[in-house]
Amino acid sequence: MGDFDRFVTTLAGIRTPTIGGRDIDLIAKSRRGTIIHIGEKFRKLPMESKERFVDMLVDLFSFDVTSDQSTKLWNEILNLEEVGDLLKSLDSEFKKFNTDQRIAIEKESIDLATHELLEIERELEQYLSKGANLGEEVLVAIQTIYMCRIVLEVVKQHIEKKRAIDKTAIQVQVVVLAALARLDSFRRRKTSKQWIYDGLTALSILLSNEDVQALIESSSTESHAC
Amino acid sequence: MRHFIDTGILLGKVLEDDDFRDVSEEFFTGFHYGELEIVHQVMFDLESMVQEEANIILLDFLRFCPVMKLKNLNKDEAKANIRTAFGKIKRAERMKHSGIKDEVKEMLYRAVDEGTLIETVKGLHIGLPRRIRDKVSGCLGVDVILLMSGVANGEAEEETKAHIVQELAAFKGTFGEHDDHDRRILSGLALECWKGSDIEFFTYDKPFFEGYKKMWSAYTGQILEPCRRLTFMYINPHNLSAGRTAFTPPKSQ
Repeated sequence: MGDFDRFVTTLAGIRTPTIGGRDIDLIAKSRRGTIIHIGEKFRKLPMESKERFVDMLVDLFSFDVTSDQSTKLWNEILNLEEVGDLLKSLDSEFKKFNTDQRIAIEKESIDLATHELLEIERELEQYLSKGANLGEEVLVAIQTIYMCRIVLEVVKQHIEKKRAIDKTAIQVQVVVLAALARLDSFRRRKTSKQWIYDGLTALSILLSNEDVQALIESSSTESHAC
Repeated sequence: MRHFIDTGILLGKVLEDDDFRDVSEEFFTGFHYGELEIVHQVMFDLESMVQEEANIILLDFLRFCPVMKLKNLNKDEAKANIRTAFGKIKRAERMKHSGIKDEVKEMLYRAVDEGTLIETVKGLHIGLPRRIRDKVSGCLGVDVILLMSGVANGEAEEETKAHIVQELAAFKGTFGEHDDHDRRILSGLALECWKGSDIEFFTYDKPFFEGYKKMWSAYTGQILEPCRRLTFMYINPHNLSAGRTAFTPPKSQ
């Protein structure tokens, strides 16, 4: 989780417009160019700014904050030199898309995020054969990433089914963001193990939900039929 | 006087006195700690504790029987290996509750049958049985007090909460094994006291109880005034209805 580009792609990317792939036709060329340009700027940020941004983003989910405090923290992020302006530009560009385009972007962002999570998951999976050397924290990290991936796939199905990015889709993605941010927060020694367990529990509860179970089962039946 | 119960006690009662999958019917109706108000996102805490214990068992299992090794065995051999490995798992201090070990073992057996061992380890989550969910939800009713998420609105209370959290954060000692979590519970309780209630809080978490007493030794001034209305009751985990030790902070002069 230490790589910034991967972190941003996975964490921020969930809600950040990304362009390319099969839905490309839906998005106007000029706007696509603008967003690619913003993405490039993001990648070229000095390491110090990137680190500060991620650190503050992690803080948003790492402590028991009231909604006022969370708004304050988010405003501080928006005021971060360089990063703040880029985030504002992205937000403003995102608002210009119509519903279909937003859905396409959202789905593609989820694909990107799940792909990144899968790669991290595969890297961590090798620790499962380590026997006595497998640490509890590593196991929780593997479980969190795996469940985040499954939950995101469910969100994508939900969006496809509803043809909308509704409140549920957004709330569930926040749970995913929080679980991932808490993992990184633990790595940064900002929080205790209990916090990563809390993130994992929130994901478990989501996955135990009967509606979610039904979605997973229907998707599994469809994939077997194919 | 309001009575709160540490969810650890609730879990202990649910999972230790009764089997994990077979909770006695009279537990919730027969609970005798006065007015039963369950603290701090009960279901969430229960799930979290079960998850943690399941992981401790799983880690022990993986020590004796790496999951990658099982993949190369036929079903019967894999199950025999699982059975042997589970036989070696000794009850550790953090494995407090019966039933969870068997539940994890059965999940692994099912995974062998379905060819989903790795996925089961990665996605291991033991949802509470439906009966427990329903009973806890029924108990909570409409007046549930969710200490952390249900804090009252209003600027003054926000300030008070911030003050309480700040004072607790300033205390250099530790409370329980899960220090952050225990501080959160304590700040929630303190806020409830500030809103005008006298509270008895039952816990079987000795480090938490001792930490609270130490905090009182350290603070002799006016800080955390609301906590003066809070009484901590230590419950012996081996005999839930006996061996209580109460700690009531000194009243202000």
